[in-house]
Amino acid sequence: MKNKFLISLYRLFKLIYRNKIFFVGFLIFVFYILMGTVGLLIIPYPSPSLANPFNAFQPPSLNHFPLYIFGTDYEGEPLLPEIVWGTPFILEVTSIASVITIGVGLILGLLAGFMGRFVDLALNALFEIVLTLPGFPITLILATIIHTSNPLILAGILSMFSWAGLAKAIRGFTYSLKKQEYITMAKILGLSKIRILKEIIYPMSSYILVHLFQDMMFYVFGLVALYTFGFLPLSNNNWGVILNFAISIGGAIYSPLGFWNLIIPVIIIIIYEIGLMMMSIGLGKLVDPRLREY
Amino acid sequence: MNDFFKWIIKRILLAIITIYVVITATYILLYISPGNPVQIYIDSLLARGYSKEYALMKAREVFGNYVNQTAFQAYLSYINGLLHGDLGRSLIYHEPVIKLIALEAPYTVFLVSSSLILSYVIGVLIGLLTAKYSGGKIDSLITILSAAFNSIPNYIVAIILLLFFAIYNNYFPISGSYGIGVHPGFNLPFIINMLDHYTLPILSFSIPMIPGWILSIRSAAFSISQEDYVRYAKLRGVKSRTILLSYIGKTAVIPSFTRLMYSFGLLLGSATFIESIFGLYGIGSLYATALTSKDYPLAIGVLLVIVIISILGNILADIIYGILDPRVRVGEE
Repeated sequence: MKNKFLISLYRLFKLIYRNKIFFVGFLIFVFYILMGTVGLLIIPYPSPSLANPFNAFQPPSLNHFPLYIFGTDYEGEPLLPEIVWGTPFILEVTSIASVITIGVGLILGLLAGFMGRFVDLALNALFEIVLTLPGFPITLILATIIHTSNPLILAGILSMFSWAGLAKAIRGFTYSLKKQEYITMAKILGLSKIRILKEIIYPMSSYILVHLFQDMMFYVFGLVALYTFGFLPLSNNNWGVILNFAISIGGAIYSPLGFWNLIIPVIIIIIYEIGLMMMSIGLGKLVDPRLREY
Repeated sequence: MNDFFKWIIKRILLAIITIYVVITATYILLYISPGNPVQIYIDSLLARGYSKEYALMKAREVFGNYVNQTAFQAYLSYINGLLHGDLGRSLIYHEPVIKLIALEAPYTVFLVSSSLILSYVIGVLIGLLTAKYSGGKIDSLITILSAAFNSIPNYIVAIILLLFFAIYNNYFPISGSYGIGVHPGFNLPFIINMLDHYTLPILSFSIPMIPGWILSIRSAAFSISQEDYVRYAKLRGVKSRTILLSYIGKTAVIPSFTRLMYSFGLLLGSATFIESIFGLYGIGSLYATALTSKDYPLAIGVLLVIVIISILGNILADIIYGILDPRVRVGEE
């Protein structure tokens, strides 16, 4: 039994390894997760005591290794601890938000596709309404009014308007799958409803996973922007707060001094996004057996 | 034709419902929710030692006539006010909200429409190009690049462009819609000055949109090129350029053209970050200022205008799509 598990684990790893684009994205993703967990044990907590005002706006260097490898900010505080300690919050909120999006989209989409008639009509109208609303300005006003750093509430605000696209797609999928012969056969054979549901969800799984990674990308940018432009309380560590302080206190968009203070967090964010993007591109091949290259 | 009208009426009904839901939601946000701005405003006046009557009077002046009515009456007069274009008064500018929006909207419309058109033209050209060389190296390179840049948002592009082209090298001005010493209006110095100030904002708005156009044009063109009538034309010996432009191009561009109209409304709301970074005039930066300084009547006024414009844009796009492409009318349900 244990042996079997190990073999399947090995097979999974081989699959991931063979799919180069997914593999590289996966490595980047794992690196960020390590940064947000193990990194906290290695890198000291960002505090003013690390700051040296004579070293403000330093470019990346090997001085005081590893503290200065990302340079320093406007107060002479090294950026590395701020970035490492800013990681867990971003990862937490964006993954909760993506899970909420997938959950709500999947459940409502399946409901609309399965129930048909009145439920479908009502849910579809709901999807259409949510899809036509400009989610972005509404997110801004909700963030300002609720003004919290609670990860769950933030995730709720972020994912409030983006589940509708997924729900609509799932509804369409369910509709067309419901009419497939093997589902009809399964019904005639009297298989349990859960089993039939499984048969319907499985073909969508690659689509759903791709959606998951794309949501995570989307939400990182959204969350960082909310902090960068000051719509949320700047009371915890995260990448958006670094950008906000670099702009509002360090004056980084007005003078060349703040160049590294601004560009380093931006690069950190972009690399993370590229990792997620590569995973979502490679995933199509990984999940769909027809596309696998042996 | 009967079906088409039914379809349009369905769309319009849905839009009316949406707008109504949004108006009610903003009303709840403004006047009923715990910690609503009216109560905060009255409390702040009371805390400064004014009498209750004065505070109520002042609140009525700012928020309109419905401060001490019952909730339902206030709701009715809120909607009545909206129907007459009354969005309340701004707390920080001391002007009617509708007037502020009218003053700032042209800048946003200019920014959004020029970025949209620029990105659309570039995207369609590159998209058709990749369709022509589909399956080759150029095609896969452009597709991968588009997928990579598709997800980078405009504020990140704006920060990068600003750092490299305005702060590190002084090619373009850092902030402002126009410089000192020019008169806003339809004169040459002003237009040149404004274009100079708007180059980076327009670029940072349009660059992230280009990949989306490329990808949608490419996939549309690819599926059309598999159609029988295109294959037949190829066999008949029609020139490949003619096939690309009039057989594939036209059909591939129609759906994206309606998406163009639809994006316009959505983008009005997402100009906020670009306008804040570059210190431009516009309803986006107005919205950001209103929110960060807790000027809720102004913020909600701007929000309502954005929501209504994007819903109307959506309907218009749908109707035009239905007229241009008859398959939509029949095949939807």
